Amino acid sequence: MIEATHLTKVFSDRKRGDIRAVDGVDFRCQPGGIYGLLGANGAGKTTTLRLLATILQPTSGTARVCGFDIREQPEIVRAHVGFLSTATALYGRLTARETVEYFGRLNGLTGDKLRRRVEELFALLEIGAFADRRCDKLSTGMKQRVSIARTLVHDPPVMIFDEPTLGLDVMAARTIVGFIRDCRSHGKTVIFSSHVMSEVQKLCDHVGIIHQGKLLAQGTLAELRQRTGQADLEEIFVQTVEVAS
Amino acid sequence: MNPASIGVIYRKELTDTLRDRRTILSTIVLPILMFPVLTLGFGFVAAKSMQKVQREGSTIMLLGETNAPTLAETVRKTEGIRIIPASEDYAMRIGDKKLHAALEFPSQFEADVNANRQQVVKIYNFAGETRSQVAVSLLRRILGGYRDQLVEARLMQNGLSKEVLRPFESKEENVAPPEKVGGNAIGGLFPYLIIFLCFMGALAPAIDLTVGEKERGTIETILASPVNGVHRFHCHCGGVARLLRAHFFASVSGRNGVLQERPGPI
Repeated sequence: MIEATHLTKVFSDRKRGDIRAVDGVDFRCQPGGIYGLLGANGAGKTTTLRLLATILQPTSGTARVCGFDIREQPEIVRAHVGFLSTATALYGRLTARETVEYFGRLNGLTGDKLRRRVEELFALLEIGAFADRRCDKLSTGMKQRVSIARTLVHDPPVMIFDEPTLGLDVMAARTIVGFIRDCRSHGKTVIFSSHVMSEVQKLCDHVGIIHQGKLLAQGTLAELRQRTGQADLEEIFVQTVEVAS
Repeated sequence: MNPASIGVIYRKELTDTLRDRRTILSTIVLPILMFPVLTLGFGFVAAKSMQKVQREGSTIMLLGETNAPTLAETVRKTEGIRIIPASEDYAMRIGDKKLHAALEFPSQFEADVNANRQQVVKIYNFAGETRSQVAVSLLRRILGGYRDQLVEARLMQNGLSKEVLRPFESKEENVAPPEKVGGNAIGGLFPYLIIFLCFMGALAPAIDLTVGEKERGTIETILASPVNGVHRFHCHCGGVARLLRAHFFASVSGRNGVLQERPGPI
């Protein structure tokens, strides 16, 4: 479960002054559901997700992840979160196994428990064939699977995906989309950001439209359709943004 | 602080470093090869260029030669000096490195010197230019020898020996074995080299640890990693331990590099 309350992040820029990248955002994501954060480039999607993953600290407002406050208990929050984006790269000189084991150990997994978990994930994600190959020698699709194993090693109840299919080819993107669906079927809370309408339409149970740091509209696809009178998500998005501008 | 977590990060950094060719090169290979190559190489090049200068000799111009016939003759007879005819453009030729130095005798030089009147001989040269400075030191040696001859002659005229001016001489004599002399010279340099090597060897791992994480995009991975009980401070501790290890290896490798070309046991 994720609950964001008036979540705000202001960046100070010498030339541009204060920039409100995330401006008083409120939303809830339920376990077993996928919440899609839809917005154009620079809308505030990545900043929102980084706040939830405790990579950034909010300027004001807060969020609770599995009941833990991102301001007060960031370490416990991180232990409950798996964060995946195209920016979360792997250590190229480590093998797939070493990478996953490293993040497992950082989570407190050791010995047989760690080995069992790694084997389980490698079997699930079909990593076995290249488990002992260095990450910089893997294809993009293989790297994505290792990244997924890395995010899942501690079996987090909350998954955060920041434009996870950006720049990937069709096959690699399908692996990710399939994985996001699996997370939902396993009862995890999933939040996902994208500017690709079709992806959001396919995957998400709830959609939030973010523009210039503000959450302009949110609800199920059916609710958004009803509210705007538009059937297509792209039209819903454009209309919502235009009304706000 | 959790030592186990620091250990996890340290072991990962160790594996990562040992697979990085750039780090291996800068912490182990370069210091071992660099010192012998640099010291022997530079010494060789310097000796070669000095030999070349000596072999080719110095080109000198004598200005007002008739004012000092005796001294001019001494200069002419000196080995390694080639005299070219006097001309007005000596300064330009020195600037163009076609002439290494010009020696100017003032009018009535020899007559004034013989009459105990002090005169000034000028050596025109190119300051900082090696071959010009070699010529200057050669001319200074000739002038110094001529001055000594004059002083000795004057003393004799007055019934005095040259020992009047130098009542005693001093002489230094080394009693230490040659290997100890060499060891001492290197030993003096050693602490400075170690400091230099520490920084040099750890530079590549330090860059890799900080900018490298950001460049490769792994910084977000580690910051977002579910650090169950692991404070980010541990990442710094693990990283610093990795740098200390790089310092150590660079220092040891550098020491071995120095010892390879030492003259004797230290």
